[in-house]
Amino acid sequence: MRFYYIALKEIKSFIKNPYIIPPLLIVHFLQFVISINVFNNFVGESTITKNTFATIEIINKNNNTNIVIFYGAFILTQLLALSSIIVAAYITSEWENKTYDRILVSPLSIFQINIGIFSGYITLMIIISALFMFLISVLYGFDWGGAYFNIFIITVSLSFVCVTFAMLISNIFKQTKIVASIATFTVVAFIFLSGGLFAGAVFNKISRYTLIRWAFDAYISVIEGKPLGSVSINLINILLTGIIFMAIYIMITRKGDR
Amino acid sequence: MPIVKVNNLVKRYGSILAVDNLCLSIEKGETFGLVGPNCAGKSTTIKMLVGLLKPDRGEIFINGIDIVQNHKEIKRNIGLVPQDVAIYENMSARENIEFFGSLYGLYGKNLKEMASEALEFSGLYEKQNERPKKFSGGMKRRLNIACSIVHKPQILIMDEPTVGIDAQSRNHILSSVKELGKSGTTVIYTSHYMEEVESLCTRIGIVDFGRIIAIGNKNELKNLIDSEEIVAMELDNTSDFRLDELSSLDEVSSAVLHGNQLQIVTSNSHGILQDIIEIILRQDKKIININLNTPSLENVFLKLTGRNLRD
Repeated sequence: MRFYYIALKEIKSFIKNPYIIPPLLIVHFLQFVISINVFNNFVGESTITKNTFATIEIINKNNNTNIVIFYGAFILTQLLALSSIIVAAYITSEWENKTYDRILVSPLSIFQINIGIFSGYITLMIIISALFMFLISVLYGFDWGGAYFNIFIITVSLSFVCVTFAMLISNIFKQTKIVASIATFTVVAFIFLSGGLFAGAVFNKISRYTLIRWAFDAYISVIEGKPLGSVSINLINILLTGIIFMAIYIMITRKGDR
Repeated sequence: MPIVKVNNLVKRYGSILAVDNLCLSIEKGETFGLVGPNCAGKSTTIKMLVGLLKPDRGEIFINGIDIVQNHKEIKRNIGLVPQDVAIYENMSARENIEFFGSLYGLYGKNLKEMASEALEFSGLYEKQNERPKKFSGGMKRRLNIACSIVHKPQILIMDEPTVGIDAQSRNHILSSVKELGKSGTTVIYTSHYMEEVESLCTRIGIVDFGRIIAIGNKNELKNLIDSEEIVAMELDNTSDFRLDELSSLDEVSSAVLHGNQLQIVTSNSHGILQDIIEIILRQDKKIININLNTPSLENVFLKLTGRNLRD
C-alpha cells in the first residue's frame, strides 16, 4: 500500500498550489455563464457577430437539448481535458527535477509507482470535477438530474484517459515545455473539433470521432435521466482509448532503462 | 564478504561505451571514493548500482545478492544522494523527508522520529516547516542528503553532493559524511574535488573511460608517482603561453595551467629547472614565484588520465 503515499503526495502538491485549481474553476465557471448568456441572446437565430479579431458564428439552438445542460456537460468535460495538460506538466517536472529518479530508487516496484501516480491524479480529477459541479449547482442552480453515480462513472472513465495520456506524453518527451506544448495543442484541437464550443451543428461529423464529444454526450444523456447503458458505446470508446494509451506507456517503460 | 561487488560491468549508450568491464569491491563500513573526469562513467556506474539503469553485461552484488534479480529487497538498504537536488520545492523540509521515508516502509511515530533525526543530522531541524524554495543552495543540498538517510541505509551512495555550494555547507556535509562513516554506514562518494575525497575516503578508485584505472588508499595511489615532484610556478600572465614546449621536455610527465599558476610534474626537477625557466622567459613571461612540491592525489590523477579532474 506504499503507492498510497505517492498518490497522496500528488494530490497535496496540486491542491497546495493556489494558482491551479481556483483559477481553473473560476475560468470554467465564467465560461459556463458567458456561453449560456451569449447563446440565450441569439436564441432561434443564426447570427454572425464580427469583431476585430475573429468572426464568431452562433448557430441555432439545438432543439433536442437544454442549452444549460449542454454547456454544463461540455465545460465539465473541457475542465477535465485541460486538467490533463497540467497533470502532464506536473509529471514531466518530476522527470526534470529528478525526483522521479529518487522514487525509482526506492524499494517500490515500477507497477506500484505507476499505480500511485495514476490513482493520485484520477482522484484529483474527480475532486476537481466535483468542485465544479458543486460550484455551478450552488451559484447557477444547475440541476445534475440526481445522476451522480452515473456522472461519477463517466468522470472516472474520462479521467482515466486524461491521466494515461498525460503519463504517456510525459514519459516520451520528458521536457516540460515540449510536453505542455504537445498536450495543449492536442487537447485544444480536440475541444475545438468536438463542437462543444458552439452549441449547434458545427463540426457535427468530425466531432463524432472525438473523445471530448463522446464524453460530453454521455454526460448530457445521464443528466437528462437516461440510464448508463444508453451511453455504453461512449464509455467503451473512452475506456478503449485509455487502455491503448496505457498499453503504449507500459511498453515504453518496460523497454527502456528506469 | 564485500558489501558491494561489481564484476565486469558494461554499459553502452548507442556507440558510446560508458562503462567498460568495470570491476569493484567495497568492504562494509568503508568510505569509498570514486573519482574521474566528466563522462568517465561514474554516474552511469552509480545508476546501475541503484537499479536506475540495467547493465548490458556484468553483475552487481550487494550483500552477496544479485541486484538485477532482487533489486526490491536490496534497495531497502541503499540510499542515494543524487547529483541534482531532487526535492519537492512546494513541500516543507519535513514533508520531503517524510515522503521519501514512507517509500521505504516507515510510517507513523517511527517515521516522524526518523525524519526528526535526519533533520537534526543535516542541521535543518529549525527549518523543518519551511519550504526549500527559501533555502540556500547549501541547505537544499543538505535536505537532499537528509531525504536519502532517513531510512538509515547500510550503503549510502553520494553523487557529487557538494557541487556549487558555500564553504559552510560543504564543511557541514563533509563532517556529516565522516560521521556516517564512523557509524558504520558504507559510503560511496563521487566528487570532482580531490581534496574532499582525500580527506574523507579510506579507499579511492580512479575511473576513466569507464574503467577503474587505479585503486587503493591515498598512500598507495601516491606511490604510483612517488618518484616525481611538482614544480609550481606563478607567472605574471599566461596569455598565449605555449605549454607544448614544456610538455616536450624529456623528463616532464605533464604540464598544466590554472590561471596564472603553472604546474609541471617531473622526475628530475633540479635537472630541468633551468630549461623550464628558459622556455618561460623565451615566451616573455615573468616568474613571480616558484615552489617544489611532493605529489598530491590531484597529480596522481593528472598523471594517470592526462587530464585535470575538473576538465
